[in-house]
Formats: sequence, structure tokens, C-alpha cells
Amino acid sequence: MIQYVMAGLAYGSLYALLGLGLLLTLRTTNVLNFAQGELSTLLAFVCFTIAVTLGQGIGWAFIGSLIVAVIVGLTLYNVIIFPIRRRDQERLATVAISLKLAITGLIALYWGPESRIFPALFDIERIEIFGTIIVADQVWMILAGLIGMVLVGVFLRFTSLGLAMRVAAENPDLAQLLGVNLRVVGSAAWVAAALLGSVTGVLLASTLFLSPFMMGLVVLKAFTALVIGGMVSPFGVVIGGLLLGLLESFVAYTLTPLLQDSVGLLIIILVLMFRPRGLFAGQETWRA
Amino acid sequence: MDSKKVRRTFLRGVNGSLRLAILSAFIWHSAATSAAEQTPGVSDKEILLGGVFPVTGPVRFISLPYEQAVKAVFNKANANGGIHGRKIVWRVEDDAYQPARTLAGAKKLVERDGVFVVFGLVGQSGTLAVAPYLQRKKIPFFTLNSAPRPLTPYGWGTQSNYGDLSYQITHYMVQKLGLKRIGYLYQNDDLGSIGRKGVDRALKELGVKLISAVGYERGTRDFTTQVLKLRDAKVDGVVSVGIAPSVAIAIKQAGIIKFKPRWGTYGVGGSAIVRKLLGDGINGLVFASDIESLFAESADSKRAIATIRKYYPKAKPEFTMFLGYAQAQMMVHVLRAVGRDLTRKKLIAALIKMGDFKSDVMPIRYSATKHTAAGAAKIYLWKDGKAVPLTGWRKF
Repeated sequence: MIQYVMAGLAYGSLYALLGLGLLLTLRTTNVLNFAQGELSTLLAFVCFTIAVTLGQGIGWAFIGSLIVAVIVGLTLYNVIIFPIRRRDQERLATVAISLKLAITGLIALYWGPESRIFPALFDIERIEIFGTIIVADQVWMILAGLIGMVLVGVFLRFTSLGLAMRVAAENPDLAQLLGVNLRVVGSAAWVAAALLGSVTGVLLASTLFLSPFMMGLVVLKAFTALVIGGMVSPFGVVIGGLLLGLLESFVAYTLTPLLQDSVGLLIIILVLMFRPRGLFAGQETWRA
Repeated sequence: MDSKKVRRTFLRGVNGSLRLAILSAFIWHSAATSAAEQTPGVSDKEILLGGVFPVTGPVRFISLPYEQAVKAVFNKANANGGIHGRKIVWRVEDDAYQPARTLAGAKKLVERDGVFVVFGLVGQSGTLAVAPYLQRKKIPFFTLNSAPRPLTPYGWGTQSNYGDLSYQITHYMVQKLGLKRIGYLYQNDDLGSIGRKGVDRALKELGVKLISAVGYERGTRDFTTQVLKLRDAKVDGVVSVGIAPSVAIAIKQAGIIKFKPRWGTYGVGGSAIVRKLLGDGINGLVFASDIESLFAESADSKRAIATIRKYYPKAKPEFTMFLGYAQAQMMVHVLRAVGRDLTRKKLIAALIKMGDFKSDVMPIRYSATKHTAAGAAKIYLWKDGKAVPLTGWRKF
């Protein structure tokens, strides 16, 4: 049972991290970023190239992928999103879908469509506690999830840029009157989303294999976490991600693993039917 | 000029014009008749074949080596004078592994390009999507998968039904390896359900009960809960039927939690991608394959690899490479057998009469009642990084 719980928490953490990235770009730039998963994959491939092709250590490769994440986040927002920021949400979402397809195509074209072995982040493969085997990667995923969530929380709550982001998310016109530079805020949101994406992509690739198509179902589940959080609350997204991960494991344990991927979709339907503003409807102000 | 002379000259002129008109009509009629009789896609210099399969998308790692091997065989045939003086031209449409696009691609090839036959369909769903259309148009088609049922003169397959291979491997694992508690890990689609039939058939014959069947949706990347379920069921052997990376990831994740049953699978077990992804972890895996393993290092496989590398130097080794090689060798063989007077009817007749054909890497047999080329499998064991054959060709 412990192993199922660990698996649930680990993957729930990944859904939460990706979901936070989705929330940041949605709330500050009005873009439902369907390309978040592919962005993660791209950055994992960058990490792989630095580590394997260029022969640097995985630590340096990870730092390199974070630097590239900053560049990619800035470029995507300033070159593609900012010029069309006044369009309605549907059109911006269409652009995001196009980005998703374009990034996947570029990855498959440049690196090839096949799966690859990703260098291990840590040497330890498993941890045994009183005879129970815990998969080490799951522990790192949970830790990374916790650290990521705390960093996002601290950033939004205690930094001036985070404060500006929250104001811009609540009311962009008022934010501009108060002197908030929406371009800087949007850039920061996309950079943060790309950084979260990089962490998620690298963790997932090192746990399984690296593949251009590895984020397909994962990003769908991050959207579920976003819906559970009502698309407004970072706290709600984190809880949504963890709940979903645990629920998937519970279904796999008590019923069958075959149904675990359907749970997310079922939750989306139920939430939209009965709690369309999410499970955390009381927390609609942008709080860390 | 008197009136008689004028009339004579006029009639002579009319006569000449009439003769010219009749001659023109005759020439036009002959040309039209000849065009009607001419087989689409076959000219004096070329035979146009059309393939529709994924050139983009998640299964490109399967279709790319296939495509390269087919090109190598056709390049070799063309370099050696072609088929009775005609070069083979192979036009490919991308279906991105989406059956709707397979149908659209096949229609383009037939109606726009006028191909002789559709050669090169990859994926059972895509094949089933185009079969009714091509049968209606009376155009023979050749798929990498098994021939669609019910059989018609137009559908011709290559690979055996996955159920035949899962039957072979399950039977071997129980009967020869002495495993008693078999679990089944499967992709929840046609692939998994056809595989299940083979597993059930083998276990029924041997009087053994399936202990646990654990499924996953296509696209799943994490198999933690699936392997935990199999471990909890205390199985000592697992037959895994899914795409190659899924088979590999499940074995890897099971190893991490120290769950090490005997793993068995179908042809993907001999793929380069599974070998690469599992590294040393592949040792101990058994698989049933209807095609020679790339890693068996037999004389036949070496000859095939050398030919492919010579005529398509960029070719990437993968197990589908041998499937493409065998299928294209068969096509060249049967086109030659038909002769210079090539029509679709004669091609079908030649396929029915073909009987046994020994490709370098696969024993092939076609007949009026057998439209899928493969009819036998070998069992291999991964040992010290090599695929060691445990059996000869075992007929289905």
C-alpha cells in the first residue's frame, strides 16, 4: 500500500508542478498554454543533449536546461504572445495548440522520434525501509514538487514582481494604472512556467525514458489539477495535483490500473458539473 | 469548269475527307481502347506503387526502418534492370498513424496518382480503415500487419496475428520454461485484445489458469501501479503485449522494485529500441518472432543487413527493417513472376499460386486461403546482449 501512496504522491507532485506553470501563464497572460507539456519535453531534450552529446555532467546539464528555459520563456512570450495579447482567450489557446504541435514536430525532427535513456539524476535506485522498497525517483519527485511549490509561493507572496503578477492577474487595467509593466509580468510568468516545465520534464525523463511524446497524458492530468483548483488558486492546483495522483493510485490498488488514467477526465466532468469554480472557490483572490 | 467536273471534284474531295475521318476515328478508337486496357500505374518504363503509413508521429521509429528497407530492396531491383525492364517507383503518403488519414492517403494514391497497387500500410487500424475502399476499387493492397478478415482477393498481409505470437510465447513459457503462474500485461486496444486471445488459447491447451491481467491505456508512460499489481498477484511469468517502449519501461520499473518474473513478449522483444532502453536488463527476456532477429547474428540476417546497407546506406537497424525487407523481397519476386504483361488480376493470380517463398529473413507463404505471409515463429532468449534462438521455425 505504501508503494501505491508514494507513486500517487510522486506523480501528483508532477501534475501540480505542471499545473502551476499552466496557472501562471493563464492568470497573467490569459493563455491556456496547451504547449506546457511539450515545453517540458523540449527542455528535457536540451538537458539530455548537454549531458550526453556534449558530455557534461547531469548537474551542469540541468542548470543549462534552466538557462535555456529562461530564454525560451522570454522568447515565446515576447515574440509570439505579447504582440497578440489583446486577442480573446480562444484565439490565444489556438496559438498555444499550434505551438504544441510545432514543438513536438521540431523535437521529433531534430532528435528523432525514438525513446532514449536519460542519465540518472542520482545514483540511488531504491530505498528499503523495513523491507518496503521505495523507488528513489519517486522521493525526488515529491521533494522537487515541494520545493517548486514553496518557491512559487514565496515568489508570489514576498517579491515585488510576484505582487505585480498577482495584481495584473486580478485586474490588468488597474495594474497598468498602478505602473505595473504588463510585459515584464508576462515575461516573468512564462519564464517561471518554463522553469517549472524544465524541472518536470527532467524528472520524468530520468524516471522513465526520454521521448518526444512523453508528456501526452501527464499534461492532461495537469489540466485536471488546474480545473480542480478552479483555475485561480495556486494552492488549489497543488492540492488538485496531489489529490489526483493519490486517487489514481487508489483506483489502481482497489480496482484496476486500467482505470487510473480515466480518473482525471471523470474528475474534470464532475467538477465542471457540480463545482465549476473549482474545489477552492472561496479562494479566488490570487494568493500564494 | 462544267457542272459534271465540279461534281466529280467535289465527290473526290468528300471521299478523301471521309476516308480521313474514318481513319482518324479508327486511330482514336484504338488509342482509347488501348488506354482503357492499360493497367493504372504501369507504363513502359515504370511500375508505380503507393504506400500510406506514419511518416510523422509517435510510431515513426517503427515505420522509418521499414521504409528504408523497402527502398533498399526496390533500389536493388532497379539497379539490376528493374522488373522486366520497368523501374519500381514507390510513392508514400503520411497518415501520422491516424486511420482517417490512412483512408485519405489511399484515396490520393489511387485517384490522383493512379498507383498499380497500394504497397505499404503500417498499423492494423489503418489497414482496416482502407480495406473496404480498396476492395471496392478492386485494388490489391499489402499491409505490414496481418491480412484483414474476411479474406478477399485484394488484401495481403505480412506479420502474423499478434495472437499467434502471444500463443507461441505463452506456450513456450509454460511448457518449456516450467512457469506456472502467468500474468498478462497489455495495452488496452486491438493489440492487447488480440494478444489476449493467444495467451488464453495457449493456457487453455495446457490446462493452466491466467493469474492476473493488467492493462494500461495507449500513451501510458509510467507502469508503477501495473507492475505492483502483477507482483501482488505473485506471478512467475509475465506476457507483455504493447508497443516496444511500453514493454521496456514496465520491465525496467519492475526491476527497480526487485520484481523479476520471467518476461515474455512478441516480436518487439527483438527490437533495437527495447535492447537500447533496457541495456543489460534485457537479458532473460524471451520473445516469439515471425521474423529473423536482427541480433541473432545468423548468416541470413547478416546478408539482409549487408544488402540494406549497400542499397540504402542511411538505414537504421530495427526489427521492422527486416519486415520491410521481407515484404519488399516478396513484392519483387511476385512482380517478376507475373511477367511483362502486368495487370492487377494477374498479380493476384500469381500471389495465390506463389506458395512458399524464402525471403532471407522470413519464411513466406501465400495461397488462396492464406493471405498473411508469416506462418511460423522462432523463440529467442536474450543472453549476454544477444538474441539466442531457442527453437527453429515453429509453424502456427
